[in-house]
This record gives sequence, C-alpha cells and structure tokens, in this order.
Amino acid sequence: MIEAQTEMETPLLIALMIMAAMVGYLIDLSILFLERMITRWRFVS
Amino acid sequence: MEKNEGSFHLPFQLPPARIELSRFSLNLQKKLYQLIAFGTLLLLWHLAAAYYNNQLVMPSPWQTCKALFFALQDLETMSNLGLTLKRVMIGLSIAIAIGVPVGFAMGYSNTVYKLIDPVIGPLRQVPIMAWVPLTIVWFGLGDGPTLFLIAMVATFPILLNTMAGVRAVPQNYYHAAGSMGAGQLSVFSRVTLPGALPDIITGLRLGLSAGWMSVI
Repeated sequence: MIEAQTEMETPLLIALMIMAAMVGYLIDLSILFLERMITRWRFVS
Repeated sequence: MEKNEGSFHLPFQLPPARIELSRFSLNLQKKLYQLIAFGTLLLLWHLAAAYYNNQLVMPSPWQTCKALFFALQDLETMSNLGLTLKRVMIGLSIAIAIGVPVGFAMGYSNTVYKLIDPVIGPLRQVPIMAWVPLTIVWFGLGDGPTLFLIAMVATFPILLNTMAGVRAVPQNYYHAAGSMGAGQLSVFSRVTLPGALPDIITGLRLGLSAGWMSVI
C-alpha cells in the first residue's frame, strides 16, 4: 500500500484499500459468527 | 381444567409458513437495500471520476477494479497480506491475554480498579504513532514494533469492554447462584463469564479492527 502511495498509483492504492476493508470485514463477520455460536441464548427467537 | 394450563400463546402468532415467508421477504429487503447503497456509491464514484477526469486524483471504478484484479493475482501482495494477518492475530492474542484477565480483575474488584485505572486511563490516550520511535528502540526492526503496536491498540477496547461486561452482570444473579450453593469457580463459569461474554466479544471486534487499521 505504501509502495502504491509513493509511486502515485491511485487505482492500485484504492484497490488495496478495498482489499484491506474486505479482509477486515470478513474477520469481523467471523467474530460475529463465533459470537452466535458461543452465546446462543441471546439469539433464540 | 383447561387443556394447556400454564402455557402462553400470543393471540397474533403467525403460522410457520407465514413466518418463513416474512423472514424471506426481510432478507430480500436487506439485499435490496445493500444493492441500492452500493449502486448509489458506485454511481457517485463514477460521476466524480468523470468530473475530475484525472486518474491520479480520482480513478474510475473500472480502473480500480482492474487494479484489484491484478493485485489479487500478485503473489507478493498476497504474501504481504498473509504476513499482516499473522501479525494481527499474534498481536490480538497478546491483547486478549492481557485485556481479558485485567478487565475481569478490574470489574470484580474496586481496589484493582482504583489501582490500575489511573495508569491505563492516560496511557490509552497517547497517540499510537508516538510509540513508534520508542518501540523501534525497544524491539529493533522487524516484527517486534508492529506486534507491540497492534497489542497496544487492541488491549484497551478488550480490557474496558470486559470490565463493563463484568460490572453489568446483575447482583441478583450472584445472590441466586449463592443461595443455590454455587462456589466461586461455579459462579465465575456459570454467571460472570456468560454474562460478560457479549461485551468481551464486542471488545474483541473493536480491538481487532483497531489493530487491523493500525498495521495497514
């Protein structure tokens, strides 16, 4: 990302930002899934 | 005597088929809203790119998609991503190992809270970039400074949420468990831990995103 920044490669920089956002979001979703698994009593409908 | 004495029925309860249908329509509605939000964002982005007409200032969504496609195929980018993920996971493990026990201790005991809070209160206000030169001096170049920074930013949300979670467990639960003869360990594993778990996980989510943002 820093390389893309110093080389003024804006499309690559934004692409890597999107990639980082997606990976972070996936990790967050996996924690939410874990939460549903270990605190089942909160999600009983 | 009535047949279903003691059971509780809502007068407006829907049949299962209707419940499934309403769940399906809610999911569909959610997907539709997501589609509208992303579509609007893409449209605005495209208009901004057309207005500036300069790849350096605002590349178009299509150019960015092409760059993303090439980045996904680039082995160096993928290996760097894996390395970053590994660092974040190690840093987060350190943060959990520190934050959860200390948070529990602070939530349980007012003495521990009074002892530790004056230290962590100001410490967590220090900008993370201010630690960088010091960590290089302490840990040298390599993974050390990065791990320290990730652990540093992730520890405080985990610690504070754990403490809040422990404190939010109602006293009645402790009284009830005590009156039924539960020991200290049993109270911890069956009352405190399940009661604080949702807050601990919220802290984990906040800590993880803070660590991920600080390392990129």
